[in-house]
Amino acid sequence: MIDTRSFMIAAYTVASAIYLAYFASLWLRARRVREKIAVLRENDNGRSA
Amino acid sequence: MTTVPLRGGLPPNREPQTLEAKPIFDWFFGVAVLAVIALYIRALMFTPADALQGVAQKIYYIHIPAWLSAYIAVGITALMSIVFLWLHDERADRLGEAAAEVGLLFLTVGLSTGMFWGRVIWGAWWVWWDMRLTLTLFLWFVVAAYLVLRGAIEDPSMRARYCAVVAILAALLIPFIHLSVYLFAARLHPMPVVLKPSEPSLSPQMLVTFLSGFVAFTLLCLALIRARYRLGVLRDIVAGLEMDGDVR
Amino acid sequence: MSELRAPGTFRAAWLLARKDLTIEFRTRTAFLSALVFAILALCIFYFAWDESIVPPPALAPGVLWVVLTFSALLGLQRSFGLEEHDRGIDALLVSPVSRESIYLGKAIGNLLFLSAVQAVTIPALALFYNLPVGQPLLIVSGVVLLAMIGIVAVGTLFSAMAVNTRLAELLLPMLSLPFFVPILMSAAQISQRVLAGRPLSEAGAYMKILISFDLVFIVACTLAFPFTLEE
Repeated sequence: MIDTRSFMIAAYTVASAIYLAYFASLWLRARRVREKIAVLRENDNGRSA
Repeated sequence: MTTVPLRGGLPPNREPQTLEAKPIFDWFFGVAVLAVIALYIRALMFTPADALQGVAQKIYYIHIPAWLSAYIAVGITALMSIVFLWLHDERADRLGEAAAEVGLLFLTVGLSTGMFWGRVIWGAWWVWWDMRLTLTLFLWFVVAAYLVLRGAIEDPSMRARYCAVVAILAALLIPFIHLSVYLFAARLHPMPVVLKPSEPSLSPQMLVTFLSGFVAFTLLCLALIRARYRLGVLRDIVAGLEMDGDVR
Repeated sequence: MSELRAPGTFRAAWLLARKDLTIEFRTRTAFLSALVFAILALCIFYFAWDESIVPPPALAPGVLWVVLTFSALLGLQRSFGLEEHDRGIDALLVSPVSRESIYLGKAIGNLLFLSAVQAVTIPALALFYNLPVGQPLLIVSGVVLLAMIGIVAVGTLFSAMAVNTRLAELLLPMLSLPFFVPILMSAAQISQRVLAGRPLSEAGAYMKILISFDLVFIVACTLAFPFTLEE
């Protein structure tokens, strides 16, 4: 007989971990893209000045 | 500089500039996360366990809403692909991309939580005779292929066209996979068991948890698509700026 | 004075298919490599099972479909790769043939190419796996043809897309294998039953899936093909 409760908890944990990983990936990607935009805008201004 | 031109003859970015300043995760996302946390607490602490399946049945509360969200997201992708081929509006393409990625996320969650449930109820992590499991696995592959294709093409207009075509063909494909998996499953397993493996009888309390699960995860799905869409907007701004740099 | 006139859709498709096959016939590289791959794979798979537990004829359908899928991918890979040299596709696009006929021509060329490979592979399968030669094998060949029509319909379109991407060689299998699922599933189920000596009528439903898949995707991919070309 397997321990049903621990399987249930494991399922909740895995699901939450997948969601958290996705939030983190979105957040990191957004931060990187914003940094890139800032750099590109700066270059742009430097060149036109 | 107010407009952001895109490569490959797409119309100029019709997105309002204010969208750039907005955070990826806003109040809507906050509400969705709170709803999911509330659901977790209710499902784990305040909902009685099923008489037949024991506590394993509680996996349903996160498993089935994940399916619903996945189908909403994948449906949006298919719909937006048709809209894109019709109107050639890059917003439809971006929404399709966002929904596909979120769809893949929910499919992954659905598959993995389903496997835990299967291990308890069927005694196996994976069974090929369960139609939903097999069907979803193939759907997962189709969505993954769509996203890989997105990543492999640089020209935005070509990417949008190719991906829309693949998404529409995939929508045609699903009924065929459905039918062949159905026939395969029907041979291996008596049908009533495949369709309803000990369907739990829901007490009113469970029903409320179930319905709030649907609401919470649908909110999360929409919030994530919204967040991913905004990321797409930022990406296109980068592509536009890089393009400007090349031209100059 | 002969008047130059654009050929009709099917005539143009046939001309294109003949062009591709002529190139193939003169070089024979793709054909030989697909053929050697198929026969090599047949031989290697033989050792993957214990002969005393699973008799070779029971193995044969599985091996057949795995080998067919991958040799088809090999053939499809080259279909539009052929036009990449010297941008042959541009020449095709400015020529007075409709885009649908470019697709159909490529598809017919691929189908004939694959049929040639299978014409050697199926007898080799029968030889190596001790299959009884007779009606079941003929039915399986027919199923192979139906399956190949579906595979080629989808694969030709994806091959046209994949050549324009960064991951060309990797992307074609990624894109097309999920689309081959219903074909392979039904075809494998039919051939399994037929080779086990059961009547074809038992697999009638799978046959319907196979045929309707072919019809739906020939039409859908022909309509979708113009979208994959540069405008």
